[in-house]
Amino acid sequence: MHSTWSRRVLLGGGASLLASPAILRAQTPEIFVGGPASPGLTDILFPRIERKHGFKILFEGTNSLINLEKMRSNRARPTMTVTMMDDPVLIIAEREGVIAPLRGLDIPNLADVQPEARPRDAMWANWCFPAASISYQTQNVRTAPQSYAEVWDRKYRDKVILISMRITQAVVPLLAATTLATGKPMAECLKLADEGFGKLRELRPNILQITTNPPQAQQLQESGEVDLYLSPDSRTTLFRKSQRAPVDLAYPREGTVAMPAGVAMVKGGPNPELGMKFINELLDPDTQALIAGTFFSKPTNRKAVAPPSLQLPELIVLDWEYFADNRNRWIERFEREIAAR
Amino acid sequence: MSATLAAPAAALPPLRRRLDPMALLALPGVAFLSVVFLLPLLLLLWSSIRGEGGFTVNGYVRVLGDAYYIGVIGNSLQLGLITTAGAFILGYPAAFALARARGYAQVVLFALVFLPLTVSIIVKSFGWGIVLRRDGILNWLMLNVGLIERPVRMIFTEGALYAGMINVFLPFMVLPIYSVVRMIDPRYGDAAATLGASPWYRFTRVTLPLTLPGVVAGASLVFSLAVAAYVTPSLLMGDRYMTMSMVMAKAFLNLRDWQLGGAMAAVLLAVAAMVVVGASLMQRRLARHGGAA
Repeated sequence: MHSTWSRRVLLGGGASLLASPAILRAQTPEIFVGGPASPGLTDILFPRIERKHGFKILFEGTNSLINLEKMRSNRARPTMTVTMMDDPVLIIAEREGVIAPLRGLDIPNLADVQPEARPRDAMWANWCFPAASISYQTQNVRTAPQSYAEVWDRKYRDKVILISMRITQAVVPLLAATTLATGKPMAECLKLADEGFGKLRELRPNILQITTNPPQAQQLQESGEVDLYLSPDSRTTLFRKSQRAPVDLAYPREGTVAMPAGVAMVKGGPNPELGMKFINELLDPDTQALIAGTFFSKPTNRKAVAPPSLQLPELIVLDWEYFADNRNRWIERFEREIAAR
Repeated sequence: MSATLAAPAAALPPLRRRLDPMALLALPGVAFLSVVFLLPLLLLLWSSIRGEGGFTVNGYVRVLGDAYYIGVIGNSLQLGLITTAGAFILGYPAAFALARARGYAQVVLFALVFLPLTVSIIVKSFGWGIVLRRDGILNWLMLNVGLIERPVRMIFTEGALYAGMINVFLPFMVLPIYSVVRMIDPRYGDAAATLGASPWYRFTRVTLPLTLPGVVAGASLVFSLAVAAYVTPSLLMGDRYMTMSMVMAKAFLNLRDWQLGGAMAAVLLAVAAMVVVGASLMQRRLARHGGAA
């Protein structure tokens, strides 16, 4: 039997096979997004955006500082289009020139976002405000703590976990200590935070661990090893509560703090038009309602309506630039005065 | 004059004859390590002495002149020493059992030593957390045999940290000792016994000296790994037991202070290098005195 396959046909076929992944990629536009490894992003939010806008989102979930290091390393040839980070890290990113301002870009929904969620003249936007206060173990603590002062009660000896100052949520116990020490409202306590370290030192007998590993701390709280955990935010605590874990978020009378979940365009990142679509969609009122329900956080678009099941109090929005400027000093003080044996 | 100068040179064998050709086999490894280890290491050391105004030793002054960081170095050394001692106490008899076992017993013992090496340190450390919790296996066991009346706190204690560290690094002590023990001729002990040596005398004067090269190798391995440990202390103690590696992670990732991180890394490297060089010298000395089997 005579074969009709010529060498040219075979070479052509081989070349097509080798090129096919590139062809497929060209058919489906994609963007690379870096952000936190929060449940709800890759399983609920991103598929919705992909379906609606017809592009693929490649997501890498890691902590904000590692994301920042990647952006710094790839500054000459950025691979990431959009980054989702805490505001204190976005402030550093802005200073290092690795993010580009959102103002002036084609992001119509930005105009409806509340002003405090458009920091630094819309250099970036907050796509939601998770709430942080006291997370408590509902089987061991039957009544939600009404005040941060209860955390200092000796009945909680070895029953409290604090998040390390290296993680942004650690600002909550520091502000709580400051408000208890100074008597000033919690919203005014950030610039007085150095006065709170003495009060925080008094908490040491109650502290079982100071963690840089929130999933481990969450597991210990759910197992009943600790009663109080300061302070994972509502994205974790209320999400786990919705999955029937024995944890809940208290709303102490001194206040509950808004954690800054920011989103920004990477300077010089590929496919910026898709990045704008992505951010615009995050800020869309309907998507914001979904975000509120999925991430148990306050929406930042004024037109968005949060689900009735989500009852969060008014949140304290902090001056994250001041926090960023003082964080390293507080990390050192925290480790030497609170964490050290 | 020229003849005087030329004489010693002529006395030396040519370079090709002085170099063992077998040393060339190390070239690929040396080239690999030069790229992935030596170069980053030099960059790290450079960052430790680079300041805004040029060369500075400020990073070293901050590390070695600060009681807090001296305490951190002390924590790491203490952790390294206790882990090494614990691994030796448990690993030495285990290495003998492994060397002397035969058949299925040896297979099982080998599995017990090797299998933990296939499990990630993170998984092992999380496992220790589960074992040591108030509702963990250990508390449950002690409650049920009546040793305690109510659960005791074991998690996030130094005891738990040392237990976890010994568990993680034990195989690195057992294997070098095992490799030496299996080479020892058992008739040495028999000969000493026929000359009237007691079991303790035979152990201290015959067995232990013969196994010392393995002990030195195991101890230097375990100490070097334990003094630089990051994951296990982070998971089993957190920020309450800061080690040199934890300070380095904090300096590079959080404070973005390369000078501090580089200086701490240099101190850690110096400690590890001293241990490796010391162990190597001890090995040579033991070999000269017939300590090696």
